[in-house]
Amino acid sequence: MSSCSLLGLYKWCNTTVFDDFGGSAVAAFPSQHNRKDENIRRANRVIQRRTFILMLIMGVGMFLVLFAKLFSLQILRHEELQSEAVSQQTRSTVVTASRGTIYDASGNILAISSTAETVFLSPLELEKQLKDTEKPAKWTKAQLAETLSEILEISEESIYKKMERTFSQYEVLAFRVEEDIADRVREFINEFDVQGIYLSTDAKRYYPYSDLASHVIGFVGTDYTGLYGLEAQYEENLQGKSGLVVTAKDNLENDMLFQYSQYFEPEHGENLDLTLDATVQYYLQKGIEEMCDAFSPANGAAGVVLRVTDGAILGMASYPNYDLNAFSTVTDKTLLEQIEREEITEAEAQLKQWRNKCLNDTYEPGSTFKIITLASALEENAVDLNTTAYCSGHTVISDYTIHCSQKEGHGQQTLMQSVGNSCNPAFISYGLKLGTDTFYDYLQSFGLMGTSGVDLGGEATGVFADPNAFTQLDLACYSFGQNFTVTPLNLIAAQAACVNGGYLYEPYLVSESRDSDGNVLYRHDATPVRQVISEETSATVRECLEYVVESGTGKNGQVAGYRVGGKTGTADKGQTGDVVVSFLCFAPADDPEIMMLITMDTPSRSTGVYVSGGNMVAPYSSAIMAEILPYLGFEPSYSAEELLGIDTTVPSVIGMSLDEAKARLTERGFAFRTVGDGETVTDQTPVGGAIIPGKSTVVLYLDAEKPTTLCTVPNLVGMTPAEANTVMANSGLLLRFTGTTGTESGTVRVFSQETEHGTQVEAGTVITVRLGDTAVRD
Amino acid sequence: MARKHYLAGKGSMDLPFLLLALLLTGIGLMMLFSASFPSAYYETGSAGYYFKRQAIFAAGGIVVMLITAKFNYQGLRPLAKPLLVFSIFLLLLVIIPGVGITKNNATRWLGIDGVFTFQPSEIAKVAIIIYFADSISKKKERMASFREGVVPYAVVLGVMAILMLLEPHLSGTILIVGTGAIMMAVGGLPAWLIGAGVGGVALVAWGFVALVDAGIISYGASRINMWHDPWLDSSDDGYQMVQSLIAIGSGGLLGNGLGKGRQKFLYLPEESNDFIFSVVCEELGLLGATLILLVFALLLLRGFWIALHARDRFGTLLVVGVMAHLGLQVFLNVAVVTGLVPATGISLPFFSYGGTALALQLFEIGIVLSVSRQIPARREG
Repeated sequence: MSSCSLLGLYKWCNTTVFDDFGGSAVAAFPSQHNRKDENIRRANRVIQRRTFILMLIMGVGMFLVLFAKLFSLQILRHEELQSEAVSQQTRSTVVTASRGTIYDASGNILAISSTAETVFLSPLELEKQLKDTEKPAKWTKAQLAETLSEILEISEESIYKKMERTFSQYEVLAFRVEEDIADRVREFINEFDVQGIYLSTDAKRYYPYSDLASHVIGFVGTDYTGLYGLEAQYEENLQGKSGLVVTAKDNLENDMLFQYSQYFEPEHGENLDLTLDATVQYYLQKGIEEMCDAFSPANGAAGVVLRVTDGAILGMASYPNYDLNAFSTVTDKTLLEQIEREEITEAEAQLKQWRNKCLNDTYEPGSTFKIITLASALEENAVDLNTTAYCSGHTVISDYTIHCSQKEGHGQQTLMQSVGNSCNPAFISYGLKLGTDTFYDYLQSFGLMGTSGVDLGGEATGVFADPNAFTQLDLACYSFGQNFTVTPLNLIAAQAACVNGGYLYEPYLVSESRDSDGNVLYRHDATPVRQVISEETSATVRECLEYVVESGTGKNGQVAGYRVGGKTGTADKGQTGDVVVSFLCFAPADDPEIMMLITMDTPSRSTGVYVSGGNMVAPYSSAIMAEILPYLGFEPSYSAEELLGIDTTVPSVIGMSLDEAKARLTERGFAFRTVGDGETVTDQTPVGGAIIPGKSTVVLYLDAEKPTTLCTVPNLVGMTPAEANTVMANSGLLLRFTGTTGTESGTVRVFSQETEHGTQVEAGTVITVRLGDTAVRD
Repeated sequence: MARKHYLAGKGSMDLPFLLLALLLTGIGLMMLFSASFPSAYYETGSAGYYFKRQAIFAAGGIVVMLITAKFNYQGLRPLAKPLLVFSIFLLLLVIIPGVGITKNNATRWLGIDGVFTFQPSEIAKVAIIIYFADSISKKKERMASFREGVVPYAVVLGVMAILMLLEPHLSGTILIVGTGAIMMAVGGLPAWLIGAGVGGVALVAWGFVALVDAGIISYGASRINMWHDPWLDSSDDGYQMVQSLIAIGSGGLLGNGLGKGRQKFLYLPEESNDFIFSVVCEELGLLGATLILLVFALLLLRGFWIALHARDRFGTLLVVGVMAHLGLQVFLNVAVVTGLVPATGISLPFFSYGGTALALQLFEIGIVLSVSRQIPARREG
């Protein structure tokens, strides 16, 4: 069949003739008409040839043209057009990854995310469904308003109002409702096939402890990314990766008839475990808050609790404080007053309350810095425990006269005494012995000139003199902590190195991060940056600092049952006359674990309390340490003297003879006084079983009526412990002392009392008062 | 031996041609179902609505085709003139206000809306093919003269074109004039005239586009601009083209799979009619679309083979007319949906929804089959 091939077909075209050309079959064209035959033959050949050409054009040419065009569209432009197709045919819904949870050291939740649903309606679509005559709505507006008002607990009227806005597509009915409520709304939508009521899911960040450690945790903004604190610092770890659901839709936004969807699972954020402990933080904040209430500092306060053995931060507080769940609301009394007086705007107040004064701001540390000078001088053998220094009340360096806090001077002192006295001239002499270069080297070795390296953003760097311009006068001032600035956090890290054996650690907050399945992704590596001073030097520093609290300016920082070391600080803020008062303490003094630095910027001068760290900060530090040390598992060990003041249970002596009762009470260390003149004890105050301070006086009633009238609490503030005792015994109340334990010192006075004077209480009630040594000058 | 040829209707039908035609009818039906089920579902609630109607016409059409094939095509000669007159009458009827049925600003249909409608232009196409085949085959060498070979046919085509442009029905006009012109050319027009005709059409088309681009002519400007770049107005004037290109392009080499196209979900307009080939490309990819075009090409090649082997000039010209009509329509349809030429509404034979068109198409195939039955046995030597 050669005619099947095109070439054969072409040849055939030129030879073939139709039947209706003169062939024997067609009578109409007799074969004898030769000329005409030839014409017809030619015409037929034309038809054949042209048919063949047409065959090639249509059967081959057109096919090739169309194929080329299809190839260009389907292969060359495939990707471009495919993406156009996907973008119009699919709807993608973002599945939010849940943000990681932040836990404290004991597993308490500090920050957690939960999803909440917002219920909204589209009046436009509701209207559309109501008007649809083909598929009439199974609900009425009244029904809808009634049911929704019941579920969402909002008025029917407000729902009606929103439904009337028929041009609108989006009217919110209820923000962030609980899951069970959302479920009930969904049920209603499904049951009545309502088109126009929708729920959208979004996430919310909760801070269960409100204002606890707010500056450490920080908060997230409306876009759900961290703005401050750890929320910002660990943004990448916490946020996770959003997932996606892609569904096919038709041009009317309905899902396509056949289901086509793809789900990209979200990666949830990492959970963080902090070194910070909510309980420690609570006591730290409580103490600082009380201190601020008492002294109304103009520029707030800051406090850090550090574990000196690895740099873990157990607590970190800054004042003014704020509630993380309402981070824009200003609640601080001082800031509100400043806004009221129009000294600052609300925005400025917000920025102030968000500042973490532990590390965002630097300050002149004052005398707490003497620990560094002491450690450096000891390490360089410039001084030792036998060194003596004379203080005349001032010293002259490069024609400048520098005064000591005690104008009359400390006279001749041993090294330890000079630390206890916080004597400026003595420390200037130690600094001068070190020399400018060596001293400057130690500033760097202690890491004071950089940042601490803590895992929180916004760390400020201190201001220091240039090494080439570091003069003798500079050195003199630096020796007692003036004329340069550091952050409280940077300072406490250096101070920790002074007492922990000499090791400088980077302070840290996050001990571990885990993925949502609990796998540990990160664990803090607590290796020291360097050893700055020797173990021996460190031991000597500890000894000196314990002396400060035992007998020096840090007396008010004593904690009954614990060996505490510390150092007070009262630093001038330039020439303004304002001061920053501070107190650093650590315990146990012989084997330090916990260190705390509290600073207060510009306390009020009108509280009657001598403005110094030893008088203003140390008593509150003592109270905080008294709470957190037992909590952290440090057992108190009381001295004999302290033991006498320890709370003891009152024995019941009712029915006994006076002598018998006397013996039972004195045996337990109680004093007593009698009322009435009988032989047997008929009643007693306090009653048996009550727990009261050990040396208290028990009142015994001998055939006498126990008075039922209430007693008035007297004002004890400013009295000596002995005076307070007498007044209290006469009023029928019992006394418990806290604070400075050396009650024998003549300069100890009642600093504050827990129950306000004038309060009516039952006889035998224990009133706790805090003692403080008023002689402290730093 | 010669006597054998005389016995009209005794030979057997050309089997390859028949099978290719049936194959296209089958594939066409299948693709129509795939393309039409979403809109059928949305509009009528029954996914198979359009498919069922089309299937009935296909079955009827095949019967018509087989019956036509059984008849001797010489019997069409006496029908040629009456059919031409009748179709012109129908074309006149349709433009009388109130008689024709108007859809989308065009009055192209006769009948009872919603029950049975047809386009007189479809009948006109068949009438032109039969009349031209009959007339040209009788003229033989006289086709070379301008007065006899050109004028009468140009008048007939001109009358029809004017009537159809009044509907308006540009695509139908192009098809009828194109088919007629091809038949005239094959029938023996002088070569210079063919050259002048082809050159003239090309020049006019090029000139028109150039004048539109230059902003001198505003008529059809939107059509030309959208042809250049439909994305200029992808939400309105260019929407259909953009959707078609997206469908074709997203199909890629292998396509989304039969039935799995997404553009037919109310994105692509006319997805069951003029733009059904876009759905084919999206679902079957370049591979499937090329195979289908190949089947069309084979049908055309076999058709022209029958034309070349036909017993007489009338048979040859009949088949050439049918194949030219089919080829033109396939080419223009695919060229439109792929953006090769500016958009006009031309349906794809065997695929597009439309019962009358399918039945008439199968009737035309029947004519070719009838011609094929009288192919004389191969002359030896």
